[in-house]
Amino acid sequence: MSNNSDVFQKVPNRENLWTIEKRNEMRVPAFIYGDEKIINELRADFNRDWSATRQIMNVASLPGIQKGMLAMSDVHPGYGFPIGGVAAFDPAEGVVSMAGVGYDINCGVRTMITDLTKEDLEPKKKDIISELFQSVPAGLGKPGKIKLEINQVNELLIEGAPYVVNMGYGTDDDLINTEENGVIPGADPEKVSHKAKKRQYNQIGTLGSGNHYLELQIVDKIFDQEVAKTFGLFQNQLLVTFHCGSRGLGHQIGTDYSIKLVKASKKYGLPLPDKELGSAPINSAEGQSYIAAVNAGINCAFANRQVIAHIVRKSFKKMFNTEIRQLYDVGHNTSKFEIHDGKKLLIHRKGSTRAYGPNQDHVPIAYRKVGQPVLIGGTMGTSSFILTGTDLGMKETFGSACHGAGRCMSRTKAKKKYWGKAVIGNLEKKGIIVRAHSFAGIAEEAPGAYKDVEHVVNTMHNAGVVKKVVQVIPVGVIKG
Amino acid sequence: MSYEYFEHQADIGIRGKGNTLAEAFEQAALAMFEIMVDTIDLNPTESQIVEIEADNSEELLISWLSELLFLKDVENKIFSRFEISKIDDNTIVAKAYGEKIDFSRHKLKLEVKAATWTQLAIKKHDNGYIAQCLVDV
Repeated sequence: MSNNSDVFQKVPNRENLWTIEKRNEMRVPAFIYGDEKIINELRADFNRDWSATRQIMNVASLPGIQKGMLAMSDVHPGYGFPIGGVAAFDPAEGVVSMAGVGYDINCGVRTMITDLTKEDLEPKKKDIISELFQSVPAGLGKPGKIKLEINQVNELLIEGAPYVVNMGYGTDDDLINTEENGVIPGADPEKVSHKAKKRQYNQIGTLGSGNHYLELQIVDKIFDQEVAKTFGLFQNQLLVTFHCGSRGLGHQIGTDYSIKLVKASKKYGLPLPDKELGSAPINSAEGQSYIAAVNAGINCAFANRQVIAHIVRKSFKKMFNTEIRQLYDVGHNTSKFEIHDGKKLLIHRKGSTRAYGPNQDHVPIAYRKVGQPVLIGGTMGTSSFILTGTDLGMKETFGSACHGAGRCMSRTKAKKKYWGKAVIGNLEKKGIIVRAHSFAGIAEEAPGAYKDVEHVVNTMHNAGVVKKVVQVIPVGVIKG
Repeated sequence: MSYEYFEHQADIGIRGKGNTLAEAFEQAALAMFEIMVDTIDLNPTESQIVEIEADNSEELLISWLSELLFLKDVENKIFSRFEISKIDDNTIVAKAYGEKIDFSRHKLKLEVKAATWTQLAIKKHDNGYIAQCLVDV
């Protein structure tokens, strides 16, 4: 492969869109959403073994990839696939890759909206954060409130979030406002190992650790009044957002199939420039098994976030005697069949949020005119954004956007540079209360260890792929 | 016999080093658990037999670390000492020593989700062996 880092060409007459022409083994060009700063970061990293650009070019070399390998503005190196990567494959000729989903299947974000304001929150802020810290299981080794048996896990993997709603955890309205209504067809528990299922017996409804969090947020800026109104958002409003995935079950599916798909790559003679990029033809037995297992993992994550939503709702009822409603739930580590321009495609989104635009059947009726709420998490001390999809995004990115800020500093460097208690102290000065199960986790998730989320979001907004609706700022954070 | 961490933008690299392949694998496991807990606080009073089979030594490292993560989740146990009694390219027979998670005594840190193929390497050099990979946290 060429060592010349200047593979990037600006797409003429388009803001923040770059391309890498087809070269070497690439079957399609790549398209990268970025400004000079983002592209310069990619250029600087180009010659590293595992640079995001090499990963972009590797994925572009997989059979059956359609149109182009896409990278969003939060692009950074992942496992085989870059984070912020989107790749669509033809079902007949294409492949499914474990790297395009990752080890936390359907990790995603759910936002709940309250009818409370910043002023309503203030007198009870510490109390509600303590209540949520006590009631939402988080951190390493914390079991969930529901214990499942093997047959229940099997049912949950097929039925997704509706399964736990039927158990009393949530409402039909929550399901309407979840991507895929909280359940994707084609899940087969037989394709999920017994080990994966056992890891989930007591992990349903748990937040986990690392970059997973629950935040109380205030609507700070409104960019689009009309869409904000459609979403039920207003200035100074209190929101609750949390970020987590499919927990041990998803991690084990990832591990099991990382081994199986490396073997499948060799068996079917597929490119394997990086062992992590194991893949299988979609229509092979191995490919079909993995897709059925991923679907099960996707359903598990929807159910997991559904149980947490119920716990959050109960806490708000107790502390404020108010009902909270779900704005939306959307994943950012998935591989799903979707129809684009009349063609069925397998869309991998690795650290990329589905971002459907206006008039799409898969968007809840209440939002259909304006497009789906796109939930982009920032970091502890910074802001998050709610955006909406656009027609251009449907055309260019298969209805996908960035997913967050993206790290710019390794965890080891962050640990050396920051001290957990000092990070919490600095945030408290800004009015942000942080409760954490681990101080080690705090240092590693320090705001300075991440890219500037505003820059990442503005890049996508200015490219026209998504449209900013509101910016929210955190006032309380719970970390695993 | 020791372990170290290496840099990655999003996650953590673990590297076990030893005079023998067994020691390198044991140290890689210890490096992984040290990410999750201060292992010095553990009383490794309970032992667990761990047996792994794999097609090659790379897959063996992934499966070894993954099995320990599996036991962490389902047995709610964390480990601080590892004794590999048999190892070749396809097999490990080992004992892991640790105890049940106790929130009052153990300083729990970051959960490791998975051991990955990224930067996975098993190498023999003049002074012994290394076993390394990136772990997803």
